[in-house]
Amino acid sequence: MNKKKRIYKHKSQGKSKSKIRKNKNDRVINKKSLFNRYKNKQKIKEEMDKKCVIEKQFLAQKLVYSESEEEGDVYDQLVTCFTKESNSKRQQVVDSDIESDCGSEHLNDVQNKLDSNSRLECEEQMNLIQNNGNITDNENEVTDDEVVDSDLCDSFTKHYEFDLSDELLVSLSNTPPSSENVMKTWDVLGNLSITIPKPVTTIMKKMKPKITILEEKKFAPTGMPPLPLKTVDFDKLYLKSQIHGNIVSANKKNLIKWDLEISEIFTPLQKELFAIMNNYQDLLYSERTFSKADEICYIYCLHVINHMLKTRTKIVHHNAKISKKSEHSEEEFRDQGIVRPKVLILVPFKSAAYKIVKTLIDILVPKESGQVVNKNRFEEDFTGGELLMPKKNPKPEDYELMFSGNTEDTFRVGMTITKKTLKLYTDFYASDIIVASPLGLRILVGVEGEEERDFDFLASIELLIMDQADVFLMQNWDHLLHVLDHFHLQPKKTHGTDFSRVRMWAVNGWSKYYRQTLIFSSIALPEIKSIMNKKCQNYAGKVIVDNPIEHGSIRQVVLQVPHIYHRFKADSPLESVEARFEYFIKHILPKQRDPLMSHTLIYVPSYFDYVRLRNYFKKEDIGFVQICEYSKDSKIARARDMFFHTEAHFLLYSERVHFFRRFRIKGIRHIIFYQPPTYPHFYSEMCNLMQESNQNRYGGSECNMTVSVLCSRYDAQRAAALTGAARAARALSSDRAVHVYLTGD
Amino acid sequence: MTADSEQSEDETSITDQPTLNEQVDDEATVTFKDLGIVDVLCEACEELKWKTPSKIQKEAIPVALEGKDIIGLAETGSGKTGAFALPILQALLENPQRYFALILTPTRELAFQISEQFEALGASIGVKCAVIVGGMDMVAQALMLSKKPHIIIATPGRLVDHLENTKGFNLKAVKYLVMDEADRILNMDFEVEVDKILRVIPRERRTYLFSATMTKKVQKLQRASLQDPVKVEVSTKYQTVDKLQQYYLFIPVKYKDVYLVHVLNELSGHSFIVFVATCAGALRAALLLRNLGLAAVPLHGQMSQNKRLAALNKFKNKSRSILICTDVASRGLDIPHVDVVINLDIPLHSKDYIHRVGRTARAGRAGKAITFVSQYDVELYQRIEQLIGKQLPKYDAEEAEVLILQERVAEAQRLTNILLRNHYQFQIIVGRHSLLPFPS
Repeated sequence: MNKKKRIYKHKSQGKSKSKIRKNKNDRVINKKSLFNRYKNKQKIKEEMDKKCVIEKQFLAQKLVYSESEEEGDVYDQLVTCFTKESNSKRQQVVDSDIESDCGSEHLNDVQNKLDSNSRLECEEQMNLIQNNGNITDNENEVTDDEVVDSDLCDSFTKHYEFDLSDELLVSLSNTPPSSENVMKTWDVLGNLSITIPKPVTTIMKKMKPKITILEEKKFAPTGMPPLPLKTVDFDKLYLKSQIHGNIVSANKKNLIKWDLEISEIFTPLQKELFAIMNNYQDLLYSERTFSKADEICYIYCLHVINHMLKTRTKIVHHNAKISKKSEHSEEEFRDQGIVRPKVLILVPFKSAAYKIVKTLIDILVPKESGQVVNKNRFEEDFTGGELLMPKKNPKPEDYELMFSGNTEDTFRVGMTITKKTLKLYTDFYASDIIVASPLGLRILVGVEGEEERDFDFLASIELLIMDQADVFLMQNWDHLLHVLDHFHLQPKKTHGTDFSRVRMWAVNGWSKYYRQTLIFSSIALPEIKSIMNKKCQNYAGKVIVDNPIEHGSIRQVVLQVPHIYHRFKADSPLESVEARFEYFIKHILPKQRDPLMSHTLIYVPSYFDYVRLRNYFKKEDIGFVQICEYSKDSKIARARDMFFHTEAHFLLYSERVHFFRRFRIKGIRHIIFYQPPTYPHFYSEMCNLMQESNQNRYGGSECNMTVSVLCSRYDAQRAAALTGAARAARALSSDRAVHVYLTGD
Repeated sequence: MTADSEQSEDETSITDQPTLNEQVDDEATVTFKDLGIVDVLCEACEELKWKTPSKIQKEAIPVALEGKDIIGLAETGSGKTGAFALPILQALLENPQRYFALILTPTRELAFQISEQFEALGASIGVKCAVIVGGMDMVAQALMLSKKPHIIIATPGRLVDHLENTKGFNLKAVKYLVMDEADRILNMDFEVEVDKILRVIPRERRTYLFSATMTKKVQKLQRASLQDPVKVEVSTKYQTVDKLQQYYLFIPVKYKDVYLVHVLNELSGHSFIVFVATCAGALRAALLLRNLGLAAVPLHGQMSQNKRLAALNKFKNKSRSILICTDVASRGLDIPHVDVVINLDIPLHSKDYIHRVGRTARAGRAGKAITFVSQYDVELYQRIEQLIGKQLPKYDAEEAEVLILQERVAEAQRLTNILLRNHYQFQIIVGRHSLLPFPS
């Protein structure tokens, strides 16, 4: 007790030296970060020892928590002890790591003063750390405004602790929600379009009843635009201390790749992404490339782990409090969802899931300190099964990267995080994190009328991550939409939930407004954006990285060939399907049937369009061959042969078969893109297949080659990826319906 | 009025005389405020158009506000719900707390009705109620309970289910326990459940029992859970209302249907409740009447909760004038416009007779009750006469006139049987579990 009084005295004298010491005294939990930062291990060790002594004294006086408590951390125990006695304001402060909890002031007379002091101090500490121990500068910076409840600074608490106010709820349930738009430009990410739902204030305010038996409530704050990170400070970001030591080591590879100092901790891209993630806002990033893949994967894994650890700490704290509380205490401990799974990561292939789990392990339990349950089974399951890549005539690089590793697309793994272990293959209802493919979930979710279907585990997802969302489009987009429709529904069974601890907003069925969704895709597509706009209703708002495409993939076409862009009219996306078909049949096909125009490949992105064209060709008795993802290998070989040897005038070619097989079709003289391709680089790739070395010398000539593209204004985004945004905009808005570009010089 | 009731009334008001006129005068003089109800709740009463307290309210509220346990004897429709809702809400105002009161009722419909009253009375102070009855989704109810309502209105079976299976739900904080239709809760084999509930709620609480009839079992219950209760009685024990005209009709079993149709025809334009003994009987009678072009709707325990509510609403808003029901509907349901009650099957428990005919001639209006007595029911009928203490007049029906209908009714019966057979076969095909026995 005396010791603490002493500290207080020092504090009041405002001596900076004592402050530092106290600083270190109290920050037991941040051991590792302090080691990293101050690099003054010895001194700190001394301080730590001192601290231990104090703690022991304390524990002798105080009630000690039972052994059964999961979190063995002495510090936590201390904190929980104090909160029992201190006032409610202090209780809110408890969970944060930064809270320096001067710990000892349960002497009533000093408590109040100390309370404010300790918070002042906490703020100072943050400054201290920021300036790397440069103490003297900070003295004047501590003003009253900066004194904030440190726990509330934590975006996790801010996002999940409170209910929605009526005004915000009304705003959210509107379609579209009444919101505010902000545009920002960041160094790495470029243009950010930030949309934040704003509470509707115009509706008549409810008369406040004179007398009410309902308690006063604190509501969730409306979202704020994210701020870019200047420096990476673990405490300011509220990264859990448990993983501080692993953050850099797990990210080493990415740092080395970009030739950065280890002290940078994150790469510039990671910094900006994490600023948004940690603000608990939805994110759509459609510029994922294979070179950025690892960075992105790391940063969301870090976010996931951080989120889960905070959730877990909270629950463990509450468990301890509940076991201590009296029978009739009115206090509520709400810290859970209706079911356990909180994080869902959707990826297209097992190889991607493998990488994610590896990263999670690196961050949470690097080799020596922790253990992973069922690791062998996981290794067995998720490796192997690679596609054989041809050595001669190699496939394009992006294909090799995409399909390296296990390419199976039906899988789902549940994971549980405990103090020092990561358990794989846990039952979904005992899992914290689920990593799955859309197909893997779709099978579980099932459809109406199926005997065994289960989607209860999707009820309380707080964090949804979709990586490589563009590949879902190649797999089966409907599966994804179907799964997304089954989020946050009322469960059919209780699954052993303790209903007294379900968060109020989950009980009220507002989980969908609290879910954060992060989507990473390599291409910007309206389909993906519509998911963001329609199925993600995060009350904190969303950030869409939206950079115009300057140069399209048309620049990569090396051949001298005219590109003819046909624009047709359509009034809605649905109508454009019909209009496209009509236009193709009336304006394109008749000309193309001229014997001069033989060796025409018709590239069809949508399988539905493909089937329609095929049926039409059959009905009209037009000579053609076809290759789609369902064709047998022998048929494909035959079709390619016939096409090359001028035996078939047309080749119907589906985009999906190109995505999964990447044939080099030979003998193409004309290409018709029935719709601009989903992946812009497929465009240049297809066009470049027309080079002379691939041609049949007896089938047409070099001067008779064309590329035609059909597009409506609903294909604007796809067209922009081909020709560049500015050119596409001009083409789509000009009076003339046909535009011709020439490539090659 | 008998001496019995006067005695209890004397305790609180001297002016209360057993004659109807003076009763009206008396109601004009006493207000809710006089009973000790706070202003907020008085305003709520006014909004509900409750100008003056009813008899049972006058009796019970002051006793309740004193903090005593109550055994209240009053027919439903006499303002019983208000009699316990007002004191509970007032106590809640003084000491706001979640899971404050538990109301047990025997039927689901009654539970919803009580909840409506609580919500109407407590709207201005923000009372939250949860109705926990069978036939509804368990998870949805668990979520409702998780919102920590102030008042829980429940049927015992489902409540026990939640107590046992819903983690994180307990009733350790309950301050008030009310059992509505207390004797029925016991009669219907709720005893085991009620015992379980009593075991998990604190002994430190107020307990109110309300019922129109009291059995010895209630006294047993009283020993188990009441502390020094005050008995509040406003009506004669088993008396039926004066304005109720009661008749019996002695007929052979095989003509029951014909006579039913005859009576419904003769009194057409009125609203009817027809009581039958079994669920299957209710279904059959409803189909039979529909075949004859009469707007009948069944209500029985094997219907889903939504259907039951829908049926009740159809009857309440007068789109159907005939409600065919089992004893599910014999108590508590607040249906204001029943003109005639027909006991197609005589009640097995004679006290049920009181409840059944209590559906009509409510709130000072006139009503008719006709009981069909077959050759097998004579003894049961005599017991009823004994219970109500008077001989009923015979309902006049010219047999020849009735039997004119025989041919049409027989045809309808045949059609009904075919329909029913198809219905049950369909149930077998789709594999429903709730198979009804095929009616003979």
